[in-house]
Amino acid sequence: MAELCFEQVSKVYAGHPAVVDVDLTVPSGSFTALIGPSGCGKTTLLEIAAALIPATTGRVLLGGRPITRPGPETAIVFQHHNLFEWMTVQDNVAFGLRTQGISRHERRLRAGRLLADVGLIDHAHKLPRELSGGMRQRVAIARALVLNPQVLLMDEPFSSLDYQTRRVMQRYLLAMWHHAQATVVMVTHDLDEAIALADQIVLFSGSPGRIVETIHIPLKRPRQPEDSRLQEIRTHLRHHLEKEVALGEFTAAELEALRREGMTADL
Amino acid sequence: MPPADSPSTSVPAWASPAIAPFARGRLRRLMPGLSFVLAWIILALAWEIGAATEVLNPRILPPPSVVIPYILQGPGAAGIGPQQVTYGEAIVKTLARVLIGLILGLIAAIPLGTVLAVVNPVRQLILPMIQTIAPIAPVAWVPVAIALLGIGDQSAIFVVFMGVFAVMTLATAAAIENVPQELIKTARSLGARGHRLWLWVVLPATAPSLLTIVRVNFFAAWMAVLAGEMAGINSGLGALIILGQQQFNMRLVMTGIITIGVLGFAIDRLILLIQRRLLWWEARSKGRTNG
Ligand SMILES: Nc1ncnc2c1ncn2[C@@H]1O[C@H](COP(=O)(O)OP(=O)(O)OP(=O)(O)O)[C@@H](O)[C@H]1O
Ligand SMILES: [Mg+2]
Repeated sequence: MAELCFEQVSKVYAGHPAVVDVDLTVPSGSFTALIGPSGCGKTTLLEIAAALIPATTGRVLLGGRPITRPGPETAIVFQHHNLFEWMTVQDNVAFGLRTQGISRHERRLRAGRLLADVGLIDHAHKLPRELSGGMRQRVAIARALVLNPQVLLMDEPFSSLDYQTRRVMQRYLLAMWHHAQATVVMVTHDLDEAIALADQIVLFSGSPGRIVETIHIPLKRPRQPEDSRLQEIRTHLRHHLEKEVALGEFTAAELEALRREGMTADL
Repeated sequence: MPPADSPSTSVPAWASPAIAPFARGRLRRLMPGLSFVLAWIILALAWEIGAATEVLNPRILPPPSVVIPYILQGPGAAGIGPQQVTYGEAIVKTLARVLIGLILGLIAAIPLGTVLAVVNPVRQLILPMIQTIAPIAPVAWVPVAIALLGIGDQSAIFVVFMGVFAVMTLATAAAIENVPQELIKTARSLGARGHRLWLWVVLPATAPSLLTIVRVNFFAAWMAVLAGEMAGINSGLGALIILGQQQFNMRLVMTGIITIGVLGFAIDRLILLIQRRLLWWEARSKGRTNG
C-alpha cells in the first residue's frame, strides 16, 4: 500500500490537450472514483499512472517515487476484460507470475489459491469464452491482483455488465479490496457506483479535462443508498455531469435558446 | 460460422432414439464424410449413364469406368524426349513447387508484414509498393519468370511466390494491427515485454488470422502453379493436361483434372486439421457453446 500522487500531469495528443494540470493525491489504501464527461481524459490519466503512456508534462509518484515503467506494483483493469482467449482461467490469472519468471509449479499454486479465494476455482480450467460476462470481469480482476499490486486502476470495469450483475460485482469488489488492501482508482459513469464505493470522488470538466472538484465521503461501507447525506451528493454530482454534457453537446447559442425555454434553468 | 448441427450433418430423427449415445456420436462424425462420398457416387453414376447413352460424348468426357482404371494402372509416360512427363513425377513436381513457393512466401511475408505494422516510416515507404503488387494475377508473372529463370522449377516457384507474397504481407500487417491496443496494454501492465510480449500475446492473438491466410493462399499458390505449368513451364500437372490436349488423349486430361481436384481438396482438409489442432482453444469452445 502506498500513496498515489499526480503532480501537474498534462497530456497533449498531436497538439490537442486531452487533460491538463491534474494535481491529485490518492491516500494509501483509499478508494477514489473519477467522474467526468466522455473524452475528458480519465482513461488517459489511468494509463499514465500505469506507465503505459508517458505524460506530456508532470509526473505520477507512488509512495514518493516516480512511476516510469509498468511494474508489479500497479495493475490496471479495463472495461473490456481483455482476457487471453487462448489460455485457461488459471493460466490467465497466472500470467503476471509467468512474466516475473516464477516457476510453473508455484504459478499453479498461487493462481489456484487466488482463484479459490475469489470463488472461481471451479472454473479454473475453463476458457474465457466459456464464462459469463460478470465472471470474465472477476477473472480479469483476479489476474490484476495476482502480483499483490499496491495500486489497482480500473477503467469503467463494470459498465458493460447489466444492472443486477453490476451491483453484485460492486459488493464483490469491496470484499476483494479489503482482502487485497490496495489503493484503488476507478473511473465510472455510474454515480451510484461512485457513491457506494468511494472515499473521494473527483469531478472533471471536459475538453480539455481538468479537475473541478473533489468530494470526500467519510461514510463507512457498505452504505445505504437511501442515506440522506448520499442523496445530497448524488444530486450535486448529477447537476455537474448534466451541465458538462450539455456544454459538450450544444453550442453557446443552443444553450442560450434552451435557457430561454427554461429547459436548463438548473444548470 | 455454421452451427454445429446444420441440417446436413445432424442425425436424422429416426436414427437418434434407437442408437446408444456412443454410436450416435460416431455416426454424427461420419455423416459429413458419408454424404460427401454419396454425392460423388451419384455424380459418377450420372456421368456413366450419360456416356453410355451418348448424351455426353464419351470421346470428350471419358466416363469414370474408363478414367479410374486408367489412373489406377498409372498413366504411362506421355510426350517425347526432354518433354516427357510421367504421372507420379508431375504430381511430385507440382506439389513441391506449391510447397516451396508458399513457404518462401511466408518466410518473406511474415517479417515484412510485421515491420509494416510496427514501423511507421517503413510503412509509408513500402506499403504502396506491396499494394501495387498484390492485385497482379500470378499468371502475369509467367513470361517474366520464364525470361528470367527459364522453364524449370525456379520459374514455377517464382510465380507462386509472387502470387502469394504481397497478399500475405498485407494480411499479416492487418492481423497485427487488429490486435486490440488494450490487450497489449493489459499484457504490458502484467509485466510482458519484448519478445515475450510477441510470443505470448501477439502471436496467439494473430494465429487464427495467420492460419486462415495460409489456407487461403495455399489455393492461390495452387492456382498459380497450375496456370504457370499450362502457360509454358513444361512439367507438372498443368503441363500434363496440356499434353493430353495436344495428343487428343482425353483420358489424360480427365486424369489431370481429377487429380488436381482430389489433391487440392485433400491438402485443404489437412491444413484445416492442422489449424484446428493449433487453435485448440477455438475448436474447444465451439464444441461447448453456440458461438
Ligand atoms: N491515442 C490517442 N491519440 C489521439 N487522441 C487521443 C488518444 N487517446 C485519447 N485521445 C483523445 O484524448 C481525449 C481523452 O481521451 P480519454 O480516452 O482519456 O477520455 P475518457 O475520459 O476516458 O473518455 P470516456 O469517458 O469516453 O472513456 C479524447 O478527446 C480522445 O479523443
Ligand atoms: Mg475512457
